[in-house]
Amino acid sequence: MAFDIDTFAGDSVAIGWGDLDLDAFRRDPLPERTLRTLRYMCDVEFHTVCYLRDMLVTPSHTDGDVSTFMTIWNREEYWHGEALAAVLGVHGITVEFDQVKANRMKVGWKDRLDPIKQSLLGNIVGKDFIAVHMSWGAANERSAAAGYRRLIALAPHPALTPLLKRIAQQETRHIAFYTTQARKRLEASGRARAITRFALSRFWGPVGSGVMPEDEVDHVMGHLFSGEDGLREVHKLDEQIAQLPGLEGLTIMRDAFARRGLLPA
Amino acid sequence: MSTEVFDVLAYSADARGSHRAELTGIGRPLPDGLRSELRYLRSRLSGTTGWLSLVLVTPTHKNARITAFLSGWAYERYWLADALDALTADPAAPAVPARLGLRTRFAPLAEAVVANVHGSALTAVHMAERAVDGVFVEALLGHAIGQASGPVAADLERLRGVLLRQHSFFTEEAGRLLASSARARRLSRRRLSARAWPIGAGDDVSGTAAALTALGAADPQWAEQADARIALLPGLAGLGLARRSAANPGRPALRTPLRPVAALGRLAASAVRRKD
Repeated sequence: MAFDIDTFAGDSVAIGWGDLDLDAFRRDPLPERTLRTLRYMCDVEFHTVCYLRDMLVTPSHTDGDVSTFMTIWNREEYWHGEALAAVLGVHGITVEFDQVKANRMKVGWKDRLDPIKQSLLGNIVGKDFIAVHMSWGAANERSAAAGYRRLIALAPHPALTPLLKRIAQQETRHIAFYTTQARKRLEASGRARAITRFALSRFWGPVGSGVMPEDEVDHVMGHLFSGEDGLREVHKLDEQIAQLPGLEGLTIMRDAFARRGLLPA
Repeated sequence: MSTEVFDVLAYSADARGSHRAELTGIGRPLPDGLRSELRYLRSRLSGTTGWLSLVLVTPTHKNARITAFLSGWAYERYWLADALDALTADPAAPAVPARLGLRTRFAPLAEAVVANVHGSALTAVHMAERAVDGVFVEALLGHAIGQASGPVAADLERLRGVLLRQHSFFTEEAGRLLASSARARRLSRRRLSARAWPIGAGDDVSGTAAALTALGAADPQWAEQADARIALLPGLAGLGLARRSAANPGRPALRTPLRPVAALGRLAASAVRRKD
């Protein structure tokens, strides 16, 4: 079914948690490992504006549907960050503007060079670069949604579970957009398929890598995707990405995990 | 202790989405002049991604409070433009041009490079840009409201409320940042003078001319009043942005080709003085 951007925009609603009993966290606080993973997810959600930036400097934002999507998507990801910050706040972990700013400052020179790099690539490659962004976004959103599902399975909690389900549900709408756009653009251009395959196979990393400290990426990915069930998700993600035109046989998630030593021997 | 007044957290939780369910003026006939003005306003309200592409490549993107506001602001602007589409019975016009000129395509790259020189002073420029733009948009919307009647006027008043809230953030933020840095004030004066107003006016020179001409015909004092409001921002007195825009719509207040000429003139003058 074709993705309807007007319906997507019109149906966008803030993730609410006012109906959830956050006091349940005081009676039954989340374990440290779960909180660490939640903090990672919260930081990544708040970091969406930097992913947005990297897309805006390329031809991606010239497409009306992509431009609309980015506006709504950025807003929805921000809501996700707020929701997770509320849970962290009940546990005494405050995520305030100054801390988010400090995280962004820590990225350092990479943060200054990334938009320059993206802009150069985008202008050299042209409209085919949008296919790269859409495919990359599909991979990121799928891994984020999988992460939320895994955390639901690993840390069931009467207040956390419904909240994570709501976030994961909203992420599926993002997946639908990115996947539809990626498929359309990859089908239309051999050059787009070649460039996208090269970019994903060489440079893709789990969502949050590149902006979060490496030990945090390793911890969270190890937490969420270890064991049989976790590995099954990793394989499933690769199968989904490999269904996109030109990406057959790619195993970007397994490869990224292998590079980090997160796959069982 | 924070000195900020605008509550970004409350704004983020409350950013306005679609207005269609509340609009009572949909389907009402509009005078041609009003329809054109609303379509012009619609173009000014949409296209946020172009401006954001220049802002987010600078240190402004590190300021989490500002980016939190901007995510709600862009969302609200999208739906404000949609509301005007509904009132003017215009199928949604493209928010971005189908094809960008070379200058526009490479502008974010140029800005990303320049940002390394100007640093955080650019944040003051961005906030001042939107504060100034808000003055122009309010003047144009006020004129449109004056031409509308009944349900359409009421709808536009509601939309004005949304815009006023946005404007209060930019004005407050610009005021604070400009007050705290002479470098920011100098850079802002230079940058604000070098662009056309309102933001995006250069993409539609004839539309801007028509809108500002109509505004001036209805209220000959609008430019003076707008410039007086802009002058309240620290360091921005005397720019005459509205007056110059009214005189030369769609063009920068200070045309950059004049700068090299002015520099050559100064060089020639100093050579003559040395010779004397």
